[in-house]
Amino acid sequence: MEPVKYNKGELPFAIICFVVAVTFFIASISLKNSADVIQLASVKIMPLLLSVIMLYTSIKTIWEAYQVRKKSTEAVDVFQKRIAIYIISSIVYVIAMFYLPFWLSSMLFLLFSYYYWEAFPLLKGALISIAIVEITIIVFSKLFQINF
Amino acid sequence: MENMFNIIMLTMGGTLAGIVVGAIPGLSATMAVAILVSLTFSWDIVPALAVMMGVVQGVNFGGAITACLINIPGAPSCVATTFDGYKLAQRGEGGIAIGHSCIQSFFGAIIGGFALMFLTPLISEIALGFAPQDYFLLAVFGILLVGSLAEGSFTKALFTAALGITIGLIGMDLVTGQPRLTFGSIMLLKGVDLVTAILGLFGLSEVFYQLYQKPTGLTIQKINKIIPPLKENFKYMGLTIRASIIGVFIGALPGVGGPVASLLAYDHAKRTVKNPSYPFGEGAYEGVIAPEAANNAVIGGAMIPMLALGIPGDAVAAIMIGAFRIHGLKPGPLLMTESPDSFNVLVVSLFWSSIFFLIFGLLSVRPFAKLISIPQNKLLPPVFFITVVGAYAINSSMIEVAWMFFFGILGFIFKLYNYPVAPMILGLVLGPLMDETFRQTMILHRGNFLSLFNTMITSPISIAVVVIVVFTVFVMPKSVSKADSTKV
Repeated sequence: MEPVKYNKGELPFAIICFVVAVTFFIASISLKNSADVIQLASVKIMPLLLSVIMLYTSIKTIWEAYQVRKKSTEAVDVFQKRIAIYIISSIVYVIAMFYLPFWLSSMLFLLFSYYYWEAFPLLKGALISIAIVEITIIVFSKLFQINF
Repeated sequence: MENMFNIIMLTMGGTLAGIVVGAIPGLSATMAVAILVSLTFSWDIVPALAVMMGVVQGVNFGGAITACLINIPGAPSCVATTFDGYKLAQRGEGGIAIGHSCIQSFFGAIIGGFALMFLTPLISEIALGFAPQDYFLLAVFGILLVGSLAEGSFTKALFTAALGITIGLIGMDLVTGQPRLTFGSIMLLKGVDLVTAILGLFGLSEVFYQLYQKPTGLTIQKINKIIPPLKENFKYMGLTIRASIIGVFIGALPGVGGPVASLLAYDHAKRTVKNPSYPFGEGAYEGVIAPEAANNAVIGGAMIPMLALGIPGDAVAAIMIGAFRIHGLKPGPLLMTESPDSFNVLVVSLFWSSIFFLIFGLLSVRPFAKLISIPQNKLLPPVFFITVVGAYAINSSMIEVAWMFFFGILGFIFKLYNYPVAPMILGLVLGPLMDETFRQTMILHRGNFLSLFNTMITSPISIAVVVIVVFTVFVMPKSVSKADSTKV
């Protein structure tokens, strides 16, 4: 029999989903009905129904994840440090875009990506990054009328 | 109508780009169309649709190249092609497998095109008589179906669908004019942009996911002869027609798409072909022909509910609804009169792109096959950058880029923990429609469910919708899981 593998992040993520559901539930309850609209057609009815569905499904997912954890003999962590660092770097890239010119921040991030994922040596990566950003900006601004 | 020559050229470019995207493992039609929707923001709807249709058709065929040569479906709808296509390639008949796939995909696409051409006006006319509750039921039907057919748990699919609908409701309520679920933020008053969400969930999240997966060594099978003998093509024509009809039918069901159609067509071939060229699972031509004809027929089929009812047949059609919306058009029964050009261009470009992928597929499959070997770490950073450009192109604003990143990271985490993303997109598209029609129904019947029930049992359209919904939701998942279990 194959060992039952437990995904370490499954339960915490299901709990996050539950918190999201609770947030939407509270936000739906606090919506105010207009006096002239019947109760079942009010602004809150659909969000309320949906948040109940989300609450139910997230609780069920938590329960399922908990059951798997109880039965499991082996724990695995699907979330790798390498991709986590890359995602954080991409958030830094988004923030940088608010302060640096679009082409410069994009070029630096592209260079970082190539270096980080070991696609090209640094100098070659820099040249390719410059070429990609410049060509994309020129072609796309002409073809799709995007104002960079 | 736009200059026909331009339309044909744009369709050709789109088809070529689509084959390239399909032939590169990891790049999908949804990702390509999501990027295109944002990039063609400043274009007129007609040329934008022509390129998109070309891309969708091209990807479907390009996906078969990788399915046959490396056993990885280049597009999700080519999943059943791998069962026999790769075995054929291992036997040295990879070229013939791709040739068959190309020719039968062409016929499948043409049958789908005819279905689109003739059925859309018919259904649009019937849909004019739809009451709000019928639309509501159809929307719920689409979400339930995509949830029950999605990979992984139904509970998780239901969660992402509900979250998608809820996010779709954020913003100013159109009935009462009051802010809803905005958490006091002015930025959220205009709601979440559908195209930005699509770009994040299908574009950026896919880039993250592909980078996350460790690249594996690919063994690419050789291509010898490509064009199969003429008499063989005629021999399989009956199967192609039957598989294409399955494709059109599955495509026309809201929320169900190419992967389901190809699995059902494969299952159909397995059950009906008494003397296959080789046993199924060991390199039967019929095992390639049926799913390929079906997955190309799906394209025309999926456009039918999108154009006639405003309900997408699959994820690509859901993204295309985004394209209509950014051009101020609302797919549905009135589209045929409000923007007949959009319908015409979809039909015309579907036929032209079928011709183009037939030509490109048969004459230049070898260079496309070389694309398979491009390493992901060299290819994905530029795709990442183009996704960012796509988000920026929506409003020339960094805010959209930030939103796209939010959805990209969310989509990636969903994929990591096996939460399907497609129901979320369907929810985002159908959420406002569901809310609007549900509330209209309640207002019409003054919140009285008995009155609603009485109306429904006396309306032939409502009865037909209920029958279709109940039948499909209960029967379809069983048929698909049975078909899925037939893979070898």
